[in-house]
Amino acid sequence: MQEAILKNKSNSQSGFWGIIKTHIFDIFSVMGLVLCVIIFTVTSAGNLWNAYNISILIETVCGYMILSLGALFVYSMGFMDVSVGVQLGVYSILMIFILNSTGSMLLAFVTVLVLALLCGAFNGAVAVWLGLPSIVTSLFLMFVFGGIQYILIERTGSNMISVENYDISRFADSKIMITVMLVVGIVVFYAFNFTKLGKYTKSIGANEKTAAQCGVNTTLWKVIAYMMFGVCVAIASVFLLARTGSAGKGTGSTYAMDIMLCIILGGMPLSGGMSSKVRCAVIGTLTYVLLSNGLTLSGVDIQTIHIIKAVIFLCIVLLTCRNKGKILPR
Amino acid sequence: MKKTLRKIISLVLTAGMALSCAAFAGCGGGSGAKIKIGIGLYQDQGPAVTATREFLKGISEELNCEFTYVTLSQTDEAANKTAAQQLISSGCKGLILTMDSATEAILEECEKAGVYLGGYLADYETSFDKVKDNPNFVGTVVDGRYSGTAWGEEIAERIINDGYKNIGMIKFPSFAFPHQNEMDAAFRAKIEEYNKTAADDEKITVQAETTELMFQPLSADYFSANPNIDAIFGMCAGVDFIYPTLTQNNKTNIKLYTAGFSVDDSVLNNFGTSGNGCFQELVFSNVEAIVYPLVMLLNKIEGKEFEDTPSEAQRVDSSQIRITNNEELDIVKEKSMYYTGKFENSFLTASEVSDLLAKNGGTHEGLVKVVQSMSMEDLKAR
Repeated sequence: MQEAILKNKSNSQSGFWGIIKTHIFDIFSVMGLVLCVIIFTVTSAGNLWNAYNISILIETVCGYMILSLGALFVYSMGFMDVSVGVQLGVYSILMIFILNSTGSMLLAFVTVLVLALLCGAFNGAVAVWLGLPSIVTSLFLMFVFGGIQYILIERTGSNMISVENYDISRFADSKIMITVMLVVGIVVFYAFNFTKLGKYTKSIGANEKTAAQCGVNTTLWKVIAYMMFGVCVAIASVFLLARTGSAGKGTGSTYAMDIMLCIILGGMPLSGGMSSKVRCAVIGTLTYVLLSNGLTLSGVDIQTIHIIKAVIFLCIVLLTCRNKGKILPR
Repeated sequence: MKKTLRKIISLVLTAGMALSCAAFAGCGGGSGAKIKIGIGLYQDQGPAVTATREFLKGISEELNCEFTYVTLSQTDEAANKTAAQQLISSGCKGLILTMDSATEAILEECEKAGVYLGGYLADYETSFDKVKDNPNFVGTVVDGRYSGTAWGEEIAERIINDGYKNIGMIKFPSFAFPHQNEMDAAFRAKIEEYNKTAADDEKITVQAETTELMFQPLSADYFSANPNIDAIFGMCAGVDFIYPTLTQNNKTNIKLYTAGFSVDDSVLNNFGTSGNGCFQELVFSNVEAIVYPLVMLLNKIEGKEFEDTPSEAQRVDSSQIRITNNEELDIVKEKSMYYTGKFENSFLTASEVSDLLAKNGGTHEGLVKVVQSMSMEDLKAR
């Protein structure tokens, strides 16, 4: 009798409804994106697909996509990094200083990359050594970088600083943006699905103790995951700077929360684990950017846009929160 | 059970969101050949926002315009560029922005899309010299006067007449509001001039070094460092940044002469001789000043410019409402659109705004005169 029940249950899991149940979050995230496309195509009176809007969609998506892809490694462990926004701001300002004094983009990027890697290592390692939740170390970095950003701008005697001696707008070219997004996407896809990095970060998210008992050096892989995110932050800061050619006290400030929203909108559980997928970052980013863009194009009131975003966020959290412990990122 | 409940809540919320989205989108539709203007404000609510929106709503039919709003970031250039781009994408032919942030990048977008940009209650200090010759930039109307000298002198005269002897000085940082330095210097010069001829016991002492608020409320330590002050010249927005600290530290006996305004009773009931009498002067700019960039934009969009259009974009002063006593506050409460939020209290009717357009015989000189004729005296005369 029991065997029959188990067999029946097994059949039902592998049948149509079983597939639906297994992929419910993927289906919701894809449906969300499709719904956004359909609704906004109608409500924006076709403006969504005009050439100009497509170019600004690419411009906006680029930064978010690179960051979301990098953040995947951190979120798949069930962690988060709230310092990414201020890091982007400081990196943009530093690049402007270096470009204005040397004109060397290579030097500017390498400087920022080294800093981003150091921050990644700090986030991953210090949290383990001190036995702190990783969000605490990223909070520490957020305050430190926030202060640095403020001081750097204040020292200029203005509320913003611009690139003067270098044509940074060349990085705002759609072809370059798409190429870089594709390259980052391919690298992340490979690393996340076919290397130890992806497998171990997901394992840490699913059950860190089990991963450690299976011989995974969790500290090492946490550091590597955060450093991988650091590389993406450095790349994204170039494209963020290219958008305006300037930076100020608030540059990048909203990105930490935006990235979290992108990933969650893509159907990734806040607690990470084995259901983390690259498509969560891709679909989530596209949905988030389309949502912001489409609502404005449709003439939706400012206050209503805030409410709609909040409602969607709440819905996704309600749907993706795992029953077991309902844990938020650590 | 809980899982099902979560799903039900999610579905209800999603359905509600989709319906509200569709409803709002429907509101913006069916506009026909109306000229669409994008408005970027640095706040999404408050009396100034309400009054601005009501004013534009009141004149939209006459001008055959419709307005779309976005909120700008005070510190994030990329976010402001995105907001401007989205306005352009949505079909706006002109943009009116209150923030001088990423202005050059936004103007590049405007040039690409054949859209025009104007400023509203902003002096475009950072970018003005770089963009004033750009054919897509139509100029800006300043929040009051570009130079802070006149108001600094006026406040000094008031304080001399009111008889206060120890004056505190508070402003925002110079990098953000450089013209507050002019205000500060003009105030000090006027007081110094007075002190030269005043008797020793009549001399006024001014705080040696002006306190700069980094967009944070005044610290309670201020009163330890300046124990004897009897009045404060708050060049910054004192309603939000100074008065709460005075209240919390039982220092409302100190008189406050400050920029800014509030429709909140906790402020207005303590103005002049009312309540604790802390507020002695409040100042605000009229939302009707938006007609300057709006008319300039519409002229460009309709291809009909003023005969006396300046060769380069202008930074035009606007008149402000200075409230110096209870009688004037009552007039503001009764007649100012900023306070009532009603279009019927506007300085300008829809047809008067329409008459300012070049196609209806308006001139640049006439337009400037209008935005500079909205003072307290003008309000009293209405």
